[in-house]
Amino acid sequence: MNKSLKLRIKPVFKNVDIARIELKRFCEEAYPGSDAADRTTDLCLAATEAMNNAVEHSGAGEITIQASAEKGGIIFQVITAGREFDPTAGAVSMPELGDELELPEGGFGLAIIKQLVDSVRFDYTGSENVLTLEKKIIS
Amino acid sequence: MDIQTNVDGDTAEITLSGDLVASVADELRQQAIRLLEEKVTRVLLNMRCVDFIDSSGLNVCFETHKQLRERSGVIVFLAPTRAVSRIFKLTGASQKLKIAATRDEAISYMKGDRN
Repeated sequence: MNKSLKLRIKPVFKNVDIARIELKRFCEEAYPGSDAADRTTDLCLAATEAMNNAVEHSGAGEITIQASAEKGGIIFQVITAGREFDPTAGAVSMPELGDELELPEGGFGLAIIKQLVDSVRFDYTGSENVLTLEKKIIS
Repeated sequence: MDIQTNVDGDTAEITLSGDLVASVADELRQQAIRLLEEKVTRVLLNMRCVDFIDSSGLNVCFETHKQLRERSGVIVFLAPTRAVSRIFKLTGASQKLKIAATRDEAISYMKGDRN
């Protein structure tokens, strides 16, 4: 069983789809069984939002995706080189849905991430942006 | 993602298969715009075969809902899968969007919303 996954993708949404499929496969191999499935799906959704965010806003020419299975959970990272870009700096609470004519047309990504994983951390190393998501999959 | 559309007068059924995500969300958006231009006011969005949805897909659902309501129309989301239901519930969308478990329920709602 692979304990880690690493991909480098060009920043287009179709590559996020490919990365998500690879991540899902990695998680299912690391933590097989129906008990883990819901948490794996949650992690994949949060990861998708994080990758989409990097595609749309980071300005990077390449995105590195890393995942490792350890201590019953998954640590997932999105890494981009270049200027500092903190995707966690925006609003963190779920947008309020107003009456039927005022549904928000954006802004759910970060709030969804925070609801679905156990921790979100951003670090800037001076040359790389590193967004780390952690999710416990099995007890 | 595959999009199949059947139009009957002012009513359309859109059947989606696959992942409703950022890379394909605009396809659904464009299809919805075409239907609005054709004066469709009742839309049944069949989500039985949508395996995964992200916030881009969710946004298109919201946009289409809003555009139809502004034209006194209606959209019903039919039989969302577990993964889609999860996102609808997490974001509160399940409180604001009309979601039907069965086709009969969806059609009944659309007829009742005729006024």
